[in-house]
Amino acid sequence: MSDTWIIVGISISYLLLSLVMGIVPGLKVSKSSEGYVAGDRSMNLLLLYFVLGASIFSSFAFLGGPGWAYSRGVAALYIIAYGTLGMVPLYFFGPRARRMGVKYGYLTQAELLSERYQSPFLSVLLAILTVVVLIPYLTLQMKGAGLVLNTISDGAIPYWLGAAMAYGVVLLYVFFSGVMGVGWTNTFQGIFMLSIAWFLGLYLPKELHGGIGPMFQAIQQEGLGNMLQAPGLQSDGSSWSWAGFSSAVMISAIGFSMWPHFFMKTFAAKDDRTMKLTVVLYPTFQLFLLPILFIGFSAILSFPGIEPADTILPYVLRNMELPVVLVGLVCAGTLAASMSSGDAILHAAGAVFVRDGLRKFPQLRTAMDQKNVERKVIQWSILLISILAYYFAVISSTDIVSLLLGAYGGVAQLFPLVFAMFYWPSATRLGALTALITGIFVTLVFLFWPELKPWDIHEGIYGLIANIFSLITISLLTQKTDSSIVEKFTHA
Amino acid sequence: MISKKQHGLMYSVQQPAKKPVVRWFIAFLVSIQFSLIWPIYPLVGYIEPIMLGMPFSIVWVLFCLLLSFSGLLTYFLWEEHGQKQQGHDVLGKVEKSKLLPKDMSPNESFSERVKS
Repeated sequence: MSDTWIIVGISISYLLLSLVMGIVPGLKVSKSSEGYVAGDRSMNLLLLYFVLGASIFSSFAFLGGPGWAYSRGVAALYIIAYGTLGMVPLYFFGPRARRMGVKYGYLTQAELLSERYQSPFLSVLLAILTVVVLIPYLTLQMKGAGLVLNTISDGAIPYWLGAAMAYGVVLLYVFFSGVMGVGWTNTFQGIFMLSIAWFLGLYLPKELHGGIGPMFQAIQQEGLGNMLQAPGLQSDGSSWSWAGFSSAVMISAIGFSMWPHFFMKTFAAKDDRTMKLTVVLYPTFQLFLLPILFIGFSAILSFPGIEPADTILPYVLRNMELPVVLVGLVCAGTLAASMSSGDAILHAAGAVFVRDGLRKFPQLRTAMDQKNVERKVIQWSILLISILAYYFAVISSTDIVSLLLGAYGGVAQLFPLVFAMFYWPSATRLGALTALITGIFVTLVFLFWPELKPWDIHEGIYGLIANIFSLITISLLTQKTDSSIVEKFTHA
Repeated sequence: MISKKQHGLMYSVQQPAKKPVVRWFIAFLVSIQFSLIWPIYPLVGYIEPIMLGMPFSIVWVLFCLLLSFSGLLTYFLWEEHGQKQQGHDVLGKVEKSKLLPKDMSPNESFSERVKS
């Protein structure tokens, strides 16, 4: 058997193992939407930690992380810098949201917001935005998986088949098991890819430079010290500005916990303690990003000039005399990274589309409730969404990356609404709607016409300023929300 | 009750005594965030001194990560200790409400449990 097929064999065995890990736990939860979307609100610390942790360890982290370190130096620390506190808002919001969920049956972020601001329109708007943002996110994960299987098989597995294989597995376990399938596979995939990351992150610097210290010393001696000096470089090789770096970290930290597929996991937590401890332990997951960056640093001098930078990890693997089993395991690790984010995204997109979108139309709601088919509708939406994402990943040549870039600034616009939901009784429906729409509009304007920006800071920050300003002024000018509704949230 | 004139923030409704500590904790978190960006990170984000074989720009970020973890853990333990002493429930158990929001007609398992 040739080396290629050993590597492919390892990856396929890994896919099959993920499938089993994903299907089995789903058999234990109830057949309701609550079971499917929130795992009957029973997730323990281990599951929640890995669900939230592994979801950020996406193909972007596994391929893009080393790519950033390789081409932009310590600018890659940006990922750790925003993740350090990015999850902390959930320490405060999470337990409140969870208790509201248990009490009133909420399963998504938009359900909370639309109740607090008394606006089904807000819910439908959020459902549309969520699906619009999550599909390109999912598409990128699929592309990553297709690329890995295509590269390691030396083209024997075509790109379209690679993406279909990996995401066929994801679709199966998400379709049948819902969030519990996501939970258990993420735990398994999380442990697996962390081991791979640490191994590679220590092994490659040792093999190529004789250790981490000598590696950084060599980079400095070769006159590339500016890569090691904060905030690193931009993609064109010039130094990144402090305003650019700081605002990018800020907006990502603010938006981080607002991603619908993160926030809605608060409803899956078993109790307040689990939710809080997950947030407390989250920085330990961030620490695991460090070896990923070492992989990129180790290649700077040994493999110069590789384009695009994102392909540095597969390139290093192919060009170093590594044991074939190890290469297979690394490929499986990359698949794990792609799939552990993709599954959570897919699941969230389906759930949000039905719960926050379709359900807000009274006829559809009545029809779903009468026939008791909500869970089925979510499942079929998940199928539909994965077909759409697959279409963008394999067939369409639409530029989805720019859509995703806009998303990071856009998702942060939810923060003021969520904060005010629990802590500011004066916030009103009109205030919230204006804030969200203005925030997103301003973000998009500066995203597409960056030359209009007065200062070189992330467009999301401008959006956020407009957002908060509108929320406060319009809320103070409009009639207050009924206090019985507000108190449900402020006293949650 | 929320008075009509009140426009301020509402927090720690159940435990007003926590308020000052929450404020200090949030100040601590904010200062960590600013240590990772402008204006504090530019002061320390240099290569020298090299520690553990890594440039100081990396060591500093790891230090902040460790600090935020210790801070969060301490706050969590303090809060839990306080809640236990006052006889509060740390798990946050709540009863399911029988009054569901109007468009939240329950799904199968939920409605069954509410009925029972």
